[in-house]
Amino acid sequence: MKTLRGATLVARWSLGELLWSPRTLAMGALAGAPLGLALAYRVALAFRVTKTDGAEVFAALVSGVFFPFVAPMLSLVYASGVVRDDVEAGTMPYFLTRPLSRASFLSGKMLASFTMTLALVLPSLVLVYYVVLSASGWGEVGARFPNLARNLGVAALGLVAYNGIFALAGTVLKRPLLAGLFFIFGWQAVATFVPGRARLATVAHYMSSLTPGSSSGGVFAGLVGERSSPLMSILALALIAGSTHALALAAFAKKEVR
Amino acid sequence: MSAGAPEPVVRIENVSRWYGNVLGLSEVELALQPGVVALLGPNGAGKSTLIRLVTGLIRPSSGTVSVFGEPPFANPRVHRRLGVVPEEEELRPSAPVRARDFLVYLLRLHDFEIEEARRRAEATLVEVGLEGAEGTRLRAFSRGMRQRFRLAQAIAHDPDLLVLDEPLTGLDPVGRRELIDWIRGFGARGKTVLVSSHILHEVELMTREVVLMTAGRILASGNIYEIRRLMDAHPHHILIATPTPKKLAARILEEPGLHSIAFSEEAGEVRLETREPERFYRLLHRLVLEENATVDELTSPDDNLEAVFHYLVGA
Repeated sequence: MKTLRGATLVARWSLGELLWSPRTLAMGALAGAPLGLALAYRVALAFRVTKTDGAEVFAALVSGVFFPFVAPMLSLVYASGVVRDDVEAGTMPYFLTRPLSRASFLSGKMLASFTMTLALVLPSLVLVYYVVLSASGWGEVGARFPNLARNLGVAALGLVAYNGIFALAGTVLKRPLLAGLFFIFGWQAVATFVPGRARLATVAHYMSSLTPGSSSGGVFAGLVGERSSPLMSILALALIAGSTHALALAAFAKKEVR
Repeated sequence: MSAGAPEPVVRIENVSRWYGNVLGLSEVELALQPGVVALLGPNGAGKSTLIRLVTGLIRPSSGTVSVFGEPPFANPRVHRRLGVVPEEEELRPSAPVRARDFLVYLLRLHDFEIEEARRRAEATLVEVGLEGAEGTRLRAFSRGMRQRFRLAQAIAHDPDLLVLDEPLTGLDPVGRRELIDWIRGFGARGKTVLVSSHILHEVELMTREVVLMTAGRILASGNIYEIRRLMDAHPHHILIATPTPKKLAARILEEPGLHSIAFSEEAGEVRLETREPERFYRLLHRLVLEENATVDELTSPDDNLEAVFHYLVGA
């Protein structure tokens, strides 16, 4: 079977599995959490509890909730299961004894996990944008659309990088969830705030470097300090994504099922 | 291998397999030709390790495994011709997948077009006795139904080599009988079947070709009766039902090569032990034809798989 055809078959099947898996309800709630916050902002605005500008709130939600928490958590839950899910369900021997290259199989699984996170994060981001920005009028919604488009692009780039990292963890580690949680809340949380080059070994740094700041600078820039250039950030995220996906494929090609 | 002899479907040469410090298989040699071969041994004998090596799920630590002339590990060319019933596992997909859909998907991975995959899936589910359960979710299957499904996914693409790890587990007596008949029929079509089991009397119904394993080694392989014949350390038991046991025992005692003999007038039987069973079969034949001895029944209680297994494995 051709690699691409096999990967497409696996991706379509796996996407269906992910869609109907019990965890999707929880992940849908997680992806929808920023929308809840956006609605809370509108209520607060209506009751004059706050006067904060919609663009600032959107920037804060993106840089404080979506990118550091929602995106990596969704990626972790889905991508770390690309191998583990089938091992735990007892279905792995049924797939690995088919005339399908292992590269096709894992590529399909990784494509499905990436598509799933994308399908949860991007619509949520768009909805939050409309809910928050429409408070300042539809003119503001239109005027700041390039900002939204850039955030969507950064989210997609960040998600593909996280997808590779957690798929690699899921392929080589016995407890990828624990390792992933440490990466998100341990390593990234610490390295991002430590002066020096440690932050260059995080996805969060490059995502924050690419995130358009609000007119007042928002909370993001203040928290993470010095940014990398947009070009370097894009290249770094692409490099992380490419190398981790390739390493996951290489590890899976030699993986034994006991 | 002699010139002109067909290349074995499965060839295992000097294979050892370690799991860390634990030895799973030790210097195993085996060649399988078409037909049904049973893999027998107690728990921990190395049967599942051997099956995982043949199906390409693991690699040998040393030595070589070839299936259809190629290493099976992660080899789609081998897997195209292979059907596997893996060791019993949960088989509970995380999503609520229906049996037919899952089978269609697995067939699609064999490159079948969607219509052909559907046709094969329907036909195979009927063949394994899952008619009416096509739309049932796999997670809702009973143990027996799951076992039937495991067979369905292994045979739906009509493989040349079928590897079954304890396929009778979980099946009811009727299901077992059907599967045994099916396996024999499949082997009779010139296909190769490697089946592991610990239910000896049922294996005996499937095939006479066995591989006996214990502690990661192959103790014996080949025709079970040939193996028994070669086991000189254990005299063969022969049981003769006759209305004149004393007279017959006295006549048999004159024959050399007898290890022991006992008779019971009450039970109407003579029991003897010998390392030359053929000599006594000929003698009894002669006694019946020439001396009018009456023999109602002649049996060899330890000329079977169970006896050989117990002698060899000591189980």
